[in-house]
Amino acid sequence: MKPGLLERLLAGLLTEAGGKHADWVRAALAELSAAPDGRARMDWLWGVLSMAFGELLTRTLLPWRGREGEAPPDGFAALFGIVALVLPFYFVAAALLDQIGVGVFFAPIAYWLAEPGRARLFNAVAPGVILGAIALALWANLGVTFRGGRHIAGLIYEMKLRLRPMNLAVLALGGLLAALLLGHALGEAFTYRPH
Amino acid sequence: MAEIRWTRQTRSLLAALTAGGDWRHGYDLSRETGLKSGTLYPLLIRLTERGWLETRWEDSPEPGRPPRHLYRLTAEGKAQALTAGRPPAAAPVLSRLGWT
Repeated sequence: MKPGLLERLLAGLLTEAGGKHADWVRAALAELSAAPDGRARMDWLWGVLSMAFGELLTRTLLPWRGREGEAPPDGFAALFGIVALVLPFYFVAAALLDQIGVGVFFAPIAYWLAEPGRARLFNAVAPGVILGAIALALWANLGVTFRGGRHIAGLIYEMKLRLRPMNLAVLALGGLLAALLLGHALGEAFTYRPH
Repeated sequence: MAEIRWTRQTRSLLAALTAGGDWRHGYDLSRETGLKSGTLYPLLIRLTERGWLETRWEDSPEPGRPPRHLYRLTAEGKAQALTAGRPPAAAPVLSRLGWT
């Protein structure tokens, strides 16, 4: 069966997404001709899609992959961490300052939350966004601080520790913010409130 | 260069490549090993990058069809495939730890 227009268009897009593995994506797509119609064909195509998408994501989010050392530059991880921590830092700092009577930074948040329904939306979304941003910052900087090594006989995984001040600073700030937020959440959950 | 991990999938792919002998198509390997394309091709890429696998393109006899990719173990790949069924040797690990 000859490939249709949609199939050729998809092949072009996926091959483009494949980057340095474009030939492999093309090779996997060419095998579609061998797959029988129906479920097997869809399964095969799904696998190729996930491969091309994974390659595109890797190229976009991890541009250092495939280069010498295969690790993100320390500065990149630190910058990424700082950007990711801006929102959680503002939120935690504003809330803490508000507790000691400096409400100017928390005022915009309080104003926004005053609108009916927004508090519920905030409570549903904020934990995921704020803790997610902290987790991303920690993940990126843990990745450059503890670099994985090679497997020896499939049993040992060597790990190199690289202590760079900027990455350690992001780790410390991210850890502090996570501890404050989780500590506060635990404190709230276990506080005795008489009826 | 990516390390080869001796997973069940790697072993079954090497077994299929060894048993097949000559050039193999990706879909045939998938059917034989039960590996989906999303698992099979990353493995093929790693084996090729390690020099365990050689590849070539084969023109389709049917006009309008794209050429197909073929795979075959290199001499090094065959040697590695022979060890695939064996458990990892303990001695190098122990010596690495300074126990021997």
